Amino acid sequence: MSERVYGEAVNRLISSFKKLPGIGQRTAERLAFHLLLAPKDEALALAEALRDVKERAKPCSQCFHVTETDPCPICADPRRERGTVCVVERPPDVLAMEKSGGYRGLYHVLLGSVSLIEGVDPDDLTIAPLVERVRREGIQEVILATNPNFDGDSTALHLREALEPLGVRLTRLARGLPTGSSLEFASKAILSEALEGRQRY
Amino acid sequence: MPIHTTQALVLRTIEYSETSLIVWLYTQELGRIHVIAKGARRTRSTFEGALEPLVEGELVFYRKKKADTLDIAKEFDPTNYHRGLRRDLPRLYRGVYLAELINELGEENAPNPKAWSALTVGLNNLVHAPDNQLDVVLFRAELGLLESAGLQPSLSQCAACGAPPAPTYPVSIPGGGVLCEEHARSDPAARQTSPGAVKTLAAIVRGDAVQSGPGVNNQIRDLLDPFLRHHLGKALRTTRYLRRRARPVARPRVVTGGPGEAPDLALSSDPLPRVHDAARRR
Repeated sequence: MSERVYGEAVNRLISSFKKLPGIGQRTAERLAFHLLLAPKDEALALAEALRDVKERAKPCSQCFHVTETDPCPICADPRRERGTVCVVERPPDVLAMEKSGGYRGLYHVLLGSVSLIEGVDPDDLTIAPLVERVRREGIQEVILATNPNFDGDSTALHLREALEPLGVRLTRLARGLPTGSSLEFASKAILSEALEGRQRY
Repeated sequence: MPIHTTQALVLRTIEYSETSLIVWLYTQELGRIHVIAKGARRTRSTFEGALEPLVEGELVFYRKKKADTLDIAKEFDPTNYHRGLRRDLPRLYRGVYLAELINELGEENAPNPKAWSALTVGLNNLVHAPDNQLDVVLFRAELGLLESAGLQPSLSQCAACGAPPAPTYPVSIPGGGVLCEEHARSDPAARQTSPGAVKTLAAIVRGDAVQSGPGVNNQIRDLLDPFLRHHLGKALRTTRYLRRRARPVARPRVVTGGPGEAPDLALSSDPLPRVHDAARRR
């Protein structure tokens, strides 16, 4: 029906938007018509940006973070502590860690997380290159910064299994009460994890 | 919309929309169900991040009247996180295997107290058992789940006639268990198996204390895997983890070049490899 109403070009655009996560028919139509009515320059700039990102953005050959230069600016930065590697699941996690301002080491992006139930295996991630890197570069500490959820825990266990034989120091991000919160409103899970991970004071 | 409260174990979740989850659970009172948990992925959700695989808790949910719409989860109060499973790979593998097994075997909206008991007792035992008993604990839970579904293999008498089994314990997978000499001769599906494996399984069914080594445990898997494949019509995805022992460093499927050289990613022809985030792939 919509094919006859909108024509082939508009339909193709709507179908492309519908392939994006969280976008259904209505939103896809709204976005398509926004672009249709937008100035030509604006619409073509978007097309150009899409082409550029697919052609220029690549994984860093050392850490697998998204980059346009290889190695990425973080790996190439001589001021970073080269003995510590923070392992994260996805490129946006690097940004989150960088925003914290509290970390000066290097990163390794796994490009996903192990999902035993959905069939994502450790071999589907960049664990093997990480092992090679730790071995080759004499990394002293690997911080496992996978998400604090079921898949993140599964991923961390596989990382431990792969890295432990190398004798590298393995640490995991602390879990528990968020700063500025109160005990009264903390959930059971958060409180019990905070209790378990309590530190000498 | 009637409201229900029941003990439930989370089997699987998938992300739905920006903030919600669709959750598969096995419940004490209604068997297998799946619900939508609206807003469950928000940091300040009432579900408090507890809707994760292998977490047991009290589920409150609204039952939809139409068969083709999802029930709606209202609250989930976790009572057992089974954290021990999430700290040790062999335990985790066996835990997710049980979750997948009940997800396939369990009937929807059909209470089955035996299955609930086999599942929850099995998971608790997996948390606390010594390392060398994990397979026995798993077999016990597995056989309990099979029994609850009416599929327990016959291990001590001929599945066809009830006579004592032949001395070599031949097994017929479609026939449902061990066979006597006469039926072994006439059943084209009869296959030789390890008598030790069958006797160990029979002892587990009787509730005897059993010590079995990796050799016998593998033979038992060789028996149970095709049996389950036959009844389910497919292999369970998590079966492959059960035979995994101490793991050598993974052979890279992602091949890196030297420093400064762009990696050759076998995962995708795109410049950027796919992100293996199970939830995002849906």
